[in-house]
Amino acid sequence: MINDYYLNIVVMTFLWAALSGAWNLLAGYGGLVSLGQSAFFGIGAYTTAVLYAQFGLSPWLGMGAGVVFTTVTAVIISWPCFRLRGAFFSLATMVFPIVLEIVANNWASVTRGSSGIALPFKPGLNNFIFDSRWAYMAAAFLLMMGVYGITRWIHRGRLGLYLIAVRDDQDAAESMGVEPVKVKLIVTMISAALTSLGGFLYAQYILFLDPPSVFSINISVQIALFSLIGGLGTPVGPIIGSLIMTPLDGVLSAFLGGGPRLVIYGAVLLGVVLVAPQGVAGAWQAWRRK
Amino acid sequence: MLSILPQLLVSGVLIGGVYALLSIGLTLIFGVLRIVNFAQGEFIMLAMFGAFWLNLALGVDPYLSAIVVVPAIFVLGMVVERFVIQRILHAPHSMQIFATFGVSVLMQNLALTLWGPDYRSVITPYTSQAYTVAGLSISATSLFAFVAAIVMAAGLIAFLHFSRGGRALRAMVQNRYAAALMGVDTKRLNRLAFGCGVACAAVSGCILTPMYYTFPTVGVDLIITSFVVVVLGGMGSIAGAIVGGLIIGIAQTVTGFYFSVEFKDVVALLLFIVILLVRPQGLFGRLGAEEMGTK
Repeated sequence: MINDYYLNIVVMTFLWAALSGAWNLLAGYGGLVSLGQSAFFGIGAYTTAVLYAQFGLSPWLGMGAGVVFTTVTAVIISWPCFRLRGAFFSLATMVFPIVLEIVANNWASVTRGSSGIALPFKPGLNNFIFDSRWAYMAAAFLLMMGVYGITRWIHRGRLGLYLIAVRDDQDAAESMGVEPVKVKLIVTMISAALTSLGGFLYAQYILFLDPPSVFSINISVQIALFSLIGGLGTPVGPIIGSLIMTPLDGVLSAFLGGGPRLVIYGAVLLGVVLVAPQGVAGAWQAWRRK
Repeated sequence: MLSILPQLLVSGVLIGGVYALLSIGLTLIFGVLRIVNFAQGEFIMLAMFGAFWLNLALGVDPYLSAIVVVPAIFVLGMVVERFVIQRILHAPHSMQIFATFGVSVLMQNLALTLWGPDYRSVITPYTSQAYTVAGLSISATSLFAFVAAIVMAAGLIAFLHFSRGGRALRAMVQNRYAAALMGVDTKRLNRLAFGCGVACAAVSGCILTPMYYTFPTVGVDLIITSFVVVVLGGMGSIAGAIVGGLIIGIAQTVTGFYFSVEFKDVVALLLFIVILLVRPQGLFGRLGAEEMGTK
């Protein structure tokens, strides 16, 4: 008998792998090191939660609306930011979740402000709410494999080549006829839509949202950390990262408080960047090539 | 409503001085190393805790504690440069961001583990003291922060333009390799610049202690405003940090009064986005500064 505690870790492992995979498309392939993924995650989560809990609309509709809304928002906020390079892009993206968190806290008539919004527990496929965690596990697994499939498709195709060219030298790529803005816009839309689906799944699974739990900078950092550990710019990297880190995180939070747990996070982040910037998947590839 | 405007402007200028003070170190580090130090706020936080503990244990005045705290943070900065910054100086942007971010997460949560999440404050005789000039109220601590910002900026600008070391530093910023060939010890200068940058953060931490709460995540609150200020003024420009600080300070105070306090941060952040779009190099910055001198 597998109990809920372990099933929860499995669900979260798949969900984080999917979210991190969506970020990996942006940062690993496009060189767009976003520190604002929690904006897309939060919009996806809040759209379904507000439509379902406040207006009684089906979460299936909420899912669609969330994806459309997030993608449109992503285009509006990212397009101008593409003019910025390197760390300046990261700085700009960091701002959006902070603004959204302030908005979510103050727009109480819709989001119920800082007291948070609870989704009524009415299990059934038409509500996308389930009695058993196995169902959530299946959904999260599907999402993770979807992200993996899309990443592999991009990795092997023309878009991937364009992205890597723009990442490594934008000016050279542009002089060869690649349109950097168009390529970046496409990958941003894909990444935002997938992250929004992750937010939807999170809302339907946890059934409670408040502004810091979805818009926090810690979510964006965690998303990035898993890809870094697994291997930036590889399809399988985010999955490896999440397989290692999510269960470890479960154990750490069971035995340690928030402070010491995040000390370990910081140390791991620093260690990976300094010792193995290519991550587990990158190290494995390098070893096989020998 | 309009009669209060002069007071709002004065308060805005004083707050702006505090923002400028917080931002000078950040802009110095970027100007020399071409690295955005995401851990800058944590150095400010450490200095604030240093001033707090010295005050609690020995009754030292927070301003006076800078004599001990600033050199200590300077040394810590040199150590961080040696073991982290030096190794990622030529790494891709993503690795640079996550390296300094890692330092930030580590320092912040070490403080949380050691000292807990409580908000602490240092009460001094001048904490709530204010001067009245021509009917306008001027808080003593803000005035001191403002003066310190101007003195620090003037000192750094003078150093960069008139001293031998400053000239070497500027040569290195223009062309790292040519400077190295001319006998400039770039490794040593990098380390000194990073140490000085975080020492500026330490000065601002000590000055902030009597007027703000000290807690482990205080750096996050401060650094976001600092980023806005530095981007507005132009990354790497010390004069830009002062002007940017004043603009943000005034904008926040005025909108905070006429609209709503909750949205004063939103205004600063929206201003930030607009600047990035209209003039990404900032008021005093140069286009392409993020890559200048690294290639």
